[in-house]
Amino acid sequence: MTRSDPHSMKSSDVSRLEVLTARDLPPGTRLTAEEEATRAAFLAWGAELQQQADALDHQALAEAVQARLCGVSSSMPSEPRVSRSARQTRTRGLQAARGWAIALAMGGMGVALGLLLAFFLRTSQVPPATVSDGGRLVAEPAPAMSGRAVGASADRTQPTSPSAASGQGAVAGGAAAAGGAAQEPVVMSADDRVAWPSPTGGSAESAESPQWEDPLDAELWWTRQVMAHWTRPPARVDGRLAWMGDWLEQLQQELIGDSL
Amino acid sequence: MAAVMRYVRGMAADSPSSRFDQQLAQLVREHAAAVRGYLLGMVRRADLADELLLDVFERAWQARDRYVERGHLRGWLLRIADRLAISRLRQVKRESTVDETTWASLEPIDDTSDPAERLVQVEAEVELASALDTLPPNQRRVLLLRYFGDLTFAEIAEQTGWPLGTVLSHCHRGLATLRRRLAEQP
Repeated sequence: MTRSDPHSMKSSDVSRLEVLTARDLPPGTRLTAEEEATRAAFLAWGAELQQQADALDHQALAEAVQARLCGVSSSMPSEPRVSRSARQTRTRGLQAARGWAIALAMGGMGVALGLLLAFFLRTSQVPPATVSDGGRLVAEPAPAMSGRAVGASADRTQPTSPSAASGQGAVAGGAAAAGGAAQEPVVMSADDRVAWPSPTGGSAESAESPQWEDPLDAELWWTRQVMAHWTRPPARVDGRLAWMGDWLEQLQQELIGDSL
Repeated sequence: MAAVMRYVRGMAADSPSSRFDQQLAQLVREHAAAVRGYLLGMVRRADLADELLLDVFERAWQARDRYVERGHLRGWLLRIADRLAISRLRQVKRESTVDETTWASLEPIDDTSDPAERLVQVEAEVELASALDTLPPNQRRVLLLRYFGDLTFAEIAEQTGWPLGTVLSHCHRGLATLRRRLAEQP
């Protein structure tokens, strides 16, 4: 053996150390004085520990272990042995079942939340406009409006309102109808563009540069222009847009009121 | 009548429950001292070692179906003990520890124990501590597995997860330390 051969050196070290630390020496083994001293030290150290450990009541320990195993001790000897693979299969099955149960529960919660959301959305929106005979849009009055909003909507129909003063076109919207002719539907043309009045009293198309004193008024006016002229939505959306336009007018009334 | 009683006693002795008790008692009788010695060496606290000793035999008994007979039952028990001891030591490290002086001031005075017995116990604990303090934990672990489990170094390497060279190095250094300690003793 040479020191340059790590494998043989390692196996040599292993065997030497195993001899040194063996409880019983193999017959015919010769040790140097240093090895004898090492071995003696190791055995003395172990015996010291063993002496501490020997202070043990085996009977009491066995009874304590039995007490711990008490719940299973009576059934263990006659219990059918389950192989490891069977236990693993059963464990995997239980885990899969648990996963499916969690997925189903989460899916159910999702569906319930979706239904709840749809319900709230449905109750909070205006009923869709319907197409009546002759290709005219009919929007039903908004069902739930606050008193103030209705009042504001009613005020909007007064002659001071630009839309009322213009006399051109009709703004289809539930709130408009709610403030005025009770449950009478507001009828608007499906083909014609909604003509919003300009501040000067003419139609939107004819007003080249409307003059507003308040920038907010101009902004609101242009918003309505965009909604009315640049969108050609289907009847259902059109009804909602009409309602939104009405809502914007209410907002305008509340913000700037009689200043118009 | 006597024959009937003998028959009944024989049946009781051969019942599954009785066989179970006998096997467990035999297992404890043959290996408990060695396992306890190993645990004492590892955790260095008698109460903790005894608690772990119960765990070792409980687990060993529950897992006896998985034990593959290789003629080394004690080695198998010591592997369980080693795993439990390492796990417990990690747990103990996380716990806040109270030094002996503080603990003695907090501990209620025990009037029931005999002072002589208490003295013997304290001396034994001091001896144990001095024997164990001479070695770092890794060296101690290797030598304990070698002494109490009679595991080969390859088995120790497998159990500890260390390379064989590391195990041999720990053993070398541990033995050198023990030899010095023996030489220093009067």
